[in-house]
Amino acid sequence: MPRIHCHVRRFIRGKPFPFAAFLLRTSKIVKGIDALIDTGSPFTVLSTKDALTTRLPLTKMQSGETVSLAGYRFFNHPLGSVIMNFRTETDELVEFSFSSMGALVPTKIDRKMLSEIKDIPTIIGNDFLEEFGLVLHYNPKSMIAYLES
Amino acid sequence: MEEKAQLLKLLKASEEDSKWVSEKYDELREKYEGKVFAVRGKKVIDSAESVEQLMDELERKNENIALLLIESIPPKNASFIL
Repeated sequence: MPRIHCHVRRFIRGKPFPFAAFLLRTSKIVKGIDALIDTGSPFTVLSTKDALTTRLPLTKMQSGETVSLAGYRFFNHPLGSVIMNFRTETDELVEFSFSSMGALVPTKIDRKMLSEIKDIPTIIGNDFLEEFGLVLHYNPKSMIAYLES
Repeated sequence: MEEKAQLLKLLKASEEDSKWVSEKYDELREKYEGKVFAVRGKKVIDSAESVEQLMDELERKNENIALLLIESIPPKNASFIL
């Protein structure tokens, strides 16, 4: 498989981080998502912000394993099977059917909490990389990032 | 085939907008710190105090949310470890 295109963008404190754009598709959703590739995360999760932009009913999704992230507590609510489409460096579309994706649903949902966590991005974690045998190549100095099988 | 081409186009547009947000990071932070904003075609087309407010406003304008990049920029002195 050709390399999957990633991009390096400024994020926390304006520092560069590796991101990948993908299309999230379920029976009810089609949404472009820009996700941080985080090899330190065991999970691949849709951020609360991205869940809200797809109009997922968060108050009905307060179930699943609890996880701590950036000092906040969330339910990792299973989304079931999703399709994730990425673009390769040779401009092809690759498709992954992934069944372990969750949505980050705050354990406490109120206006203040939703405002505080809105900067937390969707994360592509180790579970996704491991399942599909992908390796992240990332050079922040030269602003190069890609996923390779 | 046509669907694939359409999906690729959508992805490329999203990547371009994301790159643009990164390039204009300081400028956008000055203007939209603490807010949520929607980007399409390297332009901020709307902003609001919360994601829900922004979604309501975009839906009122009949915008196709699937095609938009919805962003926020952390405050200058804020940090978090994921």
